[in-house]
Amino acid sequence: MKIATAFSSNLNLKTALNETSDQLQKELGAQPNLILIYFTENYAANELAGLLDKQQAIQVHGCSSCLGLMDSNGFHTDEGSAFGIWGAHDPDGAYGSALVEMNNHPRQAGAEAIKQALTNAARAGEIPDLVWLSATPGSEESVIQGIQDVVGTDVPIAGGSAADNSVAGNWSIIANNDACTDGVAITAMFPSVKISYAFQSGYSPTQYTGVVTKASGRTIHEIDNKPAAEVYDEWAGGVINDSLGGGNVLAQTTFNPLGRKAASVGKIDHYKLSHPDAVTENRALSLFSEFSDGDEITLMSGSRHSLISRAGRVAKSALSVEELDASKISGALVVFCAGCMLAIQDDMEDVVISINEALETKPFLGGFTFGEQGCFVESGNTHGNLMISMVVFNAG
Amino acid sequence: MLDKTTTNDQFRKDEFLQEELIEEHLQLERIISREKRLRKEAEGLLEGLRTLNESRNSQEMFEELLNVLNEFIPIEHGFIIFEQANKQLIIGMTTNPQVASITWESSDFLQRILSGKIIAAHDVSEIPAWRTQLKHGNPFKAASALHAPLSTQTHRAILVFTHSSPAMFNKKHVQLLEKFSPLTNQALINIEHKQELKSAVHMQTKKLRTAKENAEAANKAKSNFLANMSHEIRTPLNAIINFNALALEGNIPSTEREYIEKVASASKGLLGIINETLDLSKIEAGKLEIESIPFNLNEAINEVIDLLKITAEEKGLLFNTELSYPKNLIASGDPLRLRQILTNLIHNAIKFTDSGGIDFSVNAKPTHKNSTVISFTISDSGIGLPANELKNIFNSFQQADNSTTRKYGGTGLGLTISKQLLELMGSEIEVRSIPNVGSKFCFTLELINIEVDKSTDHQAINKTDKIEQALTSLKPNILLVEDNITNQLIAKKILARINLNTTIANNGEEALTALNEQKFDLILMDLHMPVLDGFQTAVAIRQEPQWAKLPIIALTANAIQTDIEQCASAGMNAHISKPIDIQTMYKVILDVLAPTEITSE
Repeated sequence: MKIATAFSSNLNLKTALNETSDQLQKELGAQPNLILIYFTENYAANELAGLLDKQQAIQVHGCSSCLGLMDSNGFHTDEGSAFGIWGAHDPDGAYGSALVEMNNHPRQAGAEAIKQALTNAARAGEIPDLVWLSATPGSEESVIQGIQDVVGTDVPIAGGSAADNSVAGNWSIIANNDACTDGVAITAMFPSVKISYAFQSGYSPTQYTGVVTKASGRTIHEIDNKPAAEVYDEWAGGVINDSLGGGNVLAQTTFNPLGRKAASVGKIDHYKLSHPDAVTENRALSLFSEFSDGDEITLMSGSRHSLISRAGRVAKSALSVEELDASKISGALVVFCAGCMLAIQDDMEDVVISINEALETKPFLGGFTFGEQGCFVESGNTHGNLMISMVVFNAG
Repeated sequence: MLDKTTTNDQFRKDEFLQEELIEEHLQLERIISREKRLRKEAEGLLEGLRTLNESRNSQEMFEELLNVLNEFIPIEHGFIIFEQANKQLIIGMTTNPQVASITWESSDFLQRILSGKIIAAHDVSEIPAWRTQLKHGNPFKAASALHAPLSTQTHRAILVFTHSSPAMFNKKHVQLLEKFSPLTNQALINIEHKQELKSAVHMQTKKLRTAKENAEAANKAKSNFLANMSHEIRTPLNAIINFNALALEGNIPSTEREYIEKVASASKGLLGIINETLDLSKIEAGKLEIESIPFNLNEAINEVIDLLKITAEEKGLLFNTELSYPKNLIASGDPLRLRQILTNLIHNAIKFTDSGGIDFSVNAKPTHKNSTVISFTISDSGIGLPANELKNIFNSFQQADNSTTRKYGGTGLGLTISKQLLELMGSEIEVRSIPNVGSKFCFTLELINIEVDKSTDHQAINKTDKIEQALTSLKPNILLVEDNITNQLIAKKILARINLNTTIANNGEEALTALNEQKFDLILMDLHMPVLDGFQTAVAIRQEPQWAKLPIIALTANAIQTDIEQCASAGMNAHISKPIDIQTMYKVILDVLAPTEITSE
């Protein structure tokens, strides 16, 4: 298996596509079997899907990214614009991409999308080695359930939710020649090589814990029977005190998400994180993931430094799970929370350096997403926020 | 007091160290967890190996293996699809009898597995290869399945595990099977090996059975050949020997007498060859039995000396004897075979000695068990043998070398028969030889003492004149059943020699007619005759109560053991071989008609 990436800052979609395609083909020395694209909201997904060569037997999966993207050459954001592709030449593997619109039925959409992806990979009925997921934000938990309805709970799912530059709904996804702004894009992967993955955050638990006593969907109304925003503000040292009356709190809460225990490795707990984005009516707290009554929550704490170094640590962790040697991998895919990126935007080159150090500068493509999906090695597939999800592909 | 920058730096260092510690801890926990998993898998592998070693048959082995794997993989049923030489795929082993022997069409899916890919299927109904199988129901009771390639020296195969719920198998199971596949493969190889062994054993048994049947057929053919050869040679020999004997009793010129004597000698030599061949055949068939009857040792020895001393002297050789044993010793043994052994050894010594002589010594040593150990030694000053050829002289049809046969003649069976007869008597023959100096043959026999004959001038119990007189005085009315006119004439002449009358019947039917017409005291019965042969005739006679005890003696050129046994089963009392030895014939007849006449002597 051979992996290469290409990047373009050309604002013209067709030019950007041609430039990156040519560069990719040159790097690979052969036609790719699979292309993954991260692009910013200024590139029209519909137009992009239309430009893809229908005659080529290449599976294409695309997802919009917040403000830019990163690869082994650096963090790319040219006034909030970037276009990057990742290609894999793996003639002995099998890959199939599919897109299904949500139509208010995210679970069914997830199930249908994985079935179509398997069919497109000519592997209908078979268990893939990995499901790469790009859903539009809002119902990722249900989408994961839908996928698991088909292939079971033990197939690793990794990916990130489509994003835009200002949480204005300008996100989009594509698969092959289809594109949409409310749906599920899936690629079923049967690589000929070993893969390994990790899903972590750069946050540590604090002493502040509580129980969700009233929740609906992605809103926590009460924690320990008190208004959720008030409790959160008290735990976090008044970071949203000015917004208790209501309003966007995304930037203030980036270093203090709420965590729920997702897995334990010995005495080390792993948390899936939820990023509060707004204070709503009655001092309720709106977040990017669903909660239920009875959920035990912990205030998490992060820092610029931990977010910078975490990406490299996740890469190392991904390698160690399957005992892969960085010098013998062909490349990687990275999903980095857009919220984290926004918090440490000026230090993103350091993030790239930390990943490059871990992966020995092997090609990778990273998108900035509004929700991350990954598989805790010990406890299965999860949707979380402020997370880093990474998949590493061995060379052969 | 620390400034703010220093505090921040310290905080970052602490934070970094904390993360490092957590990371190290995490790695350690993962290693522990992996080690536990690997240990469990290793235990599973060991259990699998134990199963392989302990299973009694292939089906049991397969089921046990699935039990071991079930610890790690949710298996409801398992089966193996074998690729046949014609590329057809067929289920050859299964835990689900309903799917046994079901064939599968080759497909990309199955070929991918045969090429080495382990595939987990979340929904078999989505896979074309499975869909074909499920067209008319689902005897497999499978919703999901796990497929792994297997290969042996002769077959490619697919191991399939199924579950009735969808999506029961995953990547973890694929990885596990990667580890367990060699075990399963080994199981399959063992199974195949067992099948091969079974097949090999079956083939070997078949081969052995065929070989046994062939050997039996060959043995039967050999027996038939021997019987036929014996019969065909004995018939003319009967005429030659007996007409010679009768001629020699007449008054003939000395030159002609010499010629006839030479013919007599040559024909007896030929008879000896036939008898030796038959003896060996009997020994090899395990049918030669050594008798244990009272006999006078001195008489037996002297008969041999009398016979061969003349031969030696005729060749210009000295024949020295040293006989040191109680001359009146009556021992239990087989005098016929002892004479045969001594005759063979002494005759051999004479044959291979051109000058000098033969020393024959017999020594006795009494034991405290009422027996006597007799040592026999035959030494000659003959051609001798080199040490490397000594080992061959007891082999059948083999003399020291083939040139010996050409020069000295003989079948080369004499020594073989002697050695084997001695072995049957519980003894061994020893030989020492020096080329151009001579040879020495020794053996010992332990004979049970019966009694020491008080009479110093004992009469031979079968002396010719006594037997002849006894027969003449008995004057039995004899019916000779014989189809061959020459043989009729010979027998009639031999019996007429001692004044006995003979009525002739040309076959069995004529014999029965004759029996109804007059009373006979004895029947001499040839065996091979037209109309009704000797066996049938004897059976027919024995069926009539009035003839139930009428003595019948077979008089035949059929001289092999089976013939003798057949005669007895047909109801005959005794057997006389052709060529007829006149004195033997008289003795057998007297023995049958009046046994007390002999024993009372």
